[in-house]
Amino acid sequence: MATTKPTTVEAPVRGGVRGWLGRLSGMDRDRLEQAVVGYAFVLPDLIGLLVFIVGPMFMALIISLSDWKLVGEPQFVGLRNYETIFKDPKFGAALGRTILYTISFVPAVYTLSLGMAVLLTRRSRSNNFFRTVYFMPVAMSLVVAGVIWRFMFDPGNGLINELLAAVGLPTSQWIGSVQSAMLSVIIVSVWKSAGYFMIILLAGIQDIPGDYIEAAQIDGANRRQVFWHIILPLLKPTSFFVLVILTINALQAFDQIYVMTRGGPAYATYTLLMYTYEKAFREWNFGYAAAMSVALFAMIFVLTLIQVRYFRSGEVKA
Amino acid sequence: MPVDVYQTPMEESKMKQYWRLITVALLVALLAAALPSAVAQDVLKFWTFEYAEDVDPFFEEYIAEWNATHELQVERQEFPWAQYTGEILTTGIATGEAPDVFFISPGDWRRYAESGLALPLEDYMPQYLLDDLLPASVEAVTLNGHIYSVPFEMEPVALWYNKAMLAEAGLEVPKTWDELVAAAKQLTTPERYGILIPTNPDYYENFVFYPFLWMAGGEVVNEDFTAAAVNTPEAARALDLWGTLIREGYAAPTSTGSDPVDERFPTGQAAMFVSGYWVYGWINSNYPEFVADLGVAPIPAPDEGDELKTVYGGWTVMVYAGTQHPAEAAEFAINMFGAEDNSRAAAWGIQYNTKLSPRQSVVADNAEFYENFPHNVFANEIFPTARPEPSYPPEIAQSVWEALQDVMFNNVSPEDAVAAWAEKIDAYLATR
Repeated sequence: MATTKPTTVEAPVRGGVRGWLGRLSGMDRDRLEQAVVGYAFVLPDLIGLLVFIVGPMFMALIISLSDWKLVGEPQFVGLRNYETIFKDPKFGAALGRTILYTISFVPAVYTLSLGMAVLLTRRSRSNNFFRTVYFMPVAMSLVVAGVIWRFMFDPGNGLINELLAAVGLPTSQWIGSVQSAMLSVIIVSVWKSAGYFMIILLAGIQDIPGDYIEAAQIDGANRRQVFWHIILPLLKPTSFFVLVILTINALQAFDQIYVMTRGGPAYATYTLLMYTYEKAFREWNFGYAAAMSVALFAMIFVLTLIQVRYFRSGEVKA
Repeated sequence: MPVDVYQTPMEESKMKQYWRLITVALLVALLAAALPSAVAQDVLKFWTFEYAEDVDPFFEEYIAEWNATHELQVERQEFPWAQYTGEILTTGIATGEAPDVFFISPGDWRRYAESGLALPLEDYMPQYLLDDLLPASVEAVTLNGHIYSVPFEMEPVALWYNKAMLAEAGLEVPKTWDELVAAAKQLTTPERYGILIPTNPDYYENFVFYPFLWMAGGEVVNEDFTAAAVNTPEAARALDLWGTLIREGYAAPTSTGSDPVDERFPTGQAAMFVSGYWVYGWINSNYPEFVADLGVAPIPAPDEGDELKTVYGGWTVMVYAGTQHPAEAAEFAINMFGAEDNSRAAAWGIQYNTKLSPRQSVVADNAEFYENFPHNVFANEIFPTARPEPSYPPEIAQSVWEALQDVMFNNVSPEDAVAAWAEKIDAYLATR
C-alpha cells in the first residue's frame, strides 16, 4: 500500500474511534491505549461477572418481589415475601442455627489456621511436608469428604468413637443426635477450610519484614511478645480478609450439611441456605426463596461493612 | 489501510498486538453469546439421573435403534443423583431448557402432573400395553383421568436379614412388631446394630415408613384429599415403633451415606435392614460373598394375623407438556419399556437391575427367573401385598418426615407428634 502524504494518513487515526475516544476521555494516546488494552484483558471476566453474578442478583431481587411457582407468569406482590420472613418461625430457627454455626466456625478456623501458619513459618523440609498435609483437605472433594466423615462419625463402628473409647474418653452419637450433630458438622467444616486459610495467613506472615521482628528481639521481646505485638498487628489486613471470607462462607453453609445430614436429625443442622434451597427446589416457592437469599445478602453486606469499619478504626500504619 | 508513517516499527507492532487482542476478546464474547443457540439444535432431549456404568448400554442400544430409524435424533443426558432429585429439572423448566422426555420420581410426580408440566399420554398408549400393565401401576400415574407417565419398574420394600446372625441368636424371622423390637434388641451388640431404617429427613424415609403406617391402620390424608388422617392412635403406634428402635439404640441413628443401600448390612455391622428389592442386585455385584447369608421376608405386621402391607417405588417416564415434538417424544417414552416385544422391559429388571416390571407378561414370560431366591419371595409373597408409593405434594411429604424426626430424635411423644402432624397437613390443604 503506497502512501504519498502523511497528512492523509493521520486523519483516520485522529478522527477515528480512538481519536474520538481520546478527546472524550481527555487521555493522551498512550494512556488511552493502556486503558483499552487493560479493559480488553478484563473484558471476558467482566462479561462473565455481569452475566453470571450481577445479572442473577438483580433477577433474584425482582423474583423476591413476586409470587412465582415455576409454572405460569410471576405475579408481582410487592414486599409480601419479606413480610412473611418476619412471621416465619422456620426462618427464625434456621437463622439462629446459622448464627450458631458462624460464631463457632469463624473463630475456630481463624485460630487453627493462624496457629498452623505460625508453626510453619520457618522454611524447612519438614514444614513443607506439613503444609501439604494441612492443605490436603482443601483439595479433597466435599462430597467425598462428607461421606468419609459420615463413616468416621458412625456411633457404632466409627473411627472417632473407637479412638475415644481406646483412650477411655466418653463416646458420642455425633451426627446421630440433635445435641451433637451441629458440632460434628462444624468439626468437618473447620477441618475442610483451615488449610486454605493457613496458606493465606502464612503468606501474610512471610510478607512482614524481618527487620521488625529482629528489632523487637534485640529489644528483648520473647517469642510470645513478638507474636502479640509484631506479627498479629502487622497481619491485620490479611486477618481482615480471612475473617470476612470466613464469615461469608459460614453464613452460606450448605454443601457439607447437605451431604452429611440433610439438615437432620430433626432439623438440628438445618441452616438458612438449606431452608432457602428447599423452598425453591422442593416447594417451587421461588419468590419466597429469593426474598430469603436477598435477606441473607443484606445480612452479609452489613456484617462486612461492620468488619471493614472495625479494621479501619485501628489500622496500623506500617 | 494506509500505513502510519509516523509510527515507529515498535509502535506498529504494539498497535497490531492490541488490535489482535481486542479482536480475540470480541470473538470470545461473540462465541459465548452464540454458543447456547448453536447447541439448541432440533433434537429430542432425554434426561435421567446417573445410572451405574453397566446400565448405560440399555439406553445406548435403545437410542441407537431409535436414531437409526427416526429423523429426529435423541440425545440422552444424565445427572448426578443429588442434582437430578434436587434442582436440575426445575432449573431446566424455569430456563426453557426442559428435556422432552425424562425420568420422574414418585415424590415429584404429583407436582408435575398437577402443574400441567406433563403431557397426557393416554392417547398414545397402545391397547396391548394398557392391558398388560398392572391396574395399580396405571392408577398410580393417573390423575383426573389422564395418564401422565409410563411406569416401568417396581421395587417393593421388605425386611432383609442376616441369616447367620439370626441363627446364632436362636431367633426366628420376626412376624410382629413386638418380635421385631425384641429381635433388634437381642441382635444389638457394641459392634453392630440390630436393624437399619432410614434416618435422613427425606422422601426416602417416608417411602420406607408408609408400610408401617398402613399396617398399623393409618393413612396420611383422607380419600378425597381434603383432610389429614394422621391424628389417630394407629399412626402414633407406627411412629412409636420407629422412635423406640432409635431411642433404645437398636437401630443406627445415622446413615453412612445412602439409606437405600447401607454398607453396614452386608459388612456385618447390622443384622436386619428394611429396604427394597434393589438390595439384592447391589449385594450381588458388590458383596457376592454375603449372598449366602442373605435372607428376606415381608415387613412384620403389628400383631399376629394383621394384614401384611408394603410399598413399591419406582421411577416412571414422563413427557414434558411443552415439547415441540409431542408425538415423537411420546413414542420414544412409551416404546422404551412398552414395546409390544417385552424383552427390553424384561432386560431392565432382570439383566440390568433387580426390579419387577409392571407389565404382567414380563413375569409370565420369565417364570424360570422368578422361581429363584430372592425373586420368588418378591414376586410371590411380597409384591402381592404392595401398594404404589403415594405421591404427595412437598408440604405434606415434609410433614411426614418432620413427625418421624421429632419422635426419633427430639423425644416428642407419638401422640403429640401426630397432632402436630395433622395440623400441618390441614393447614396446607386449606391453601389448595
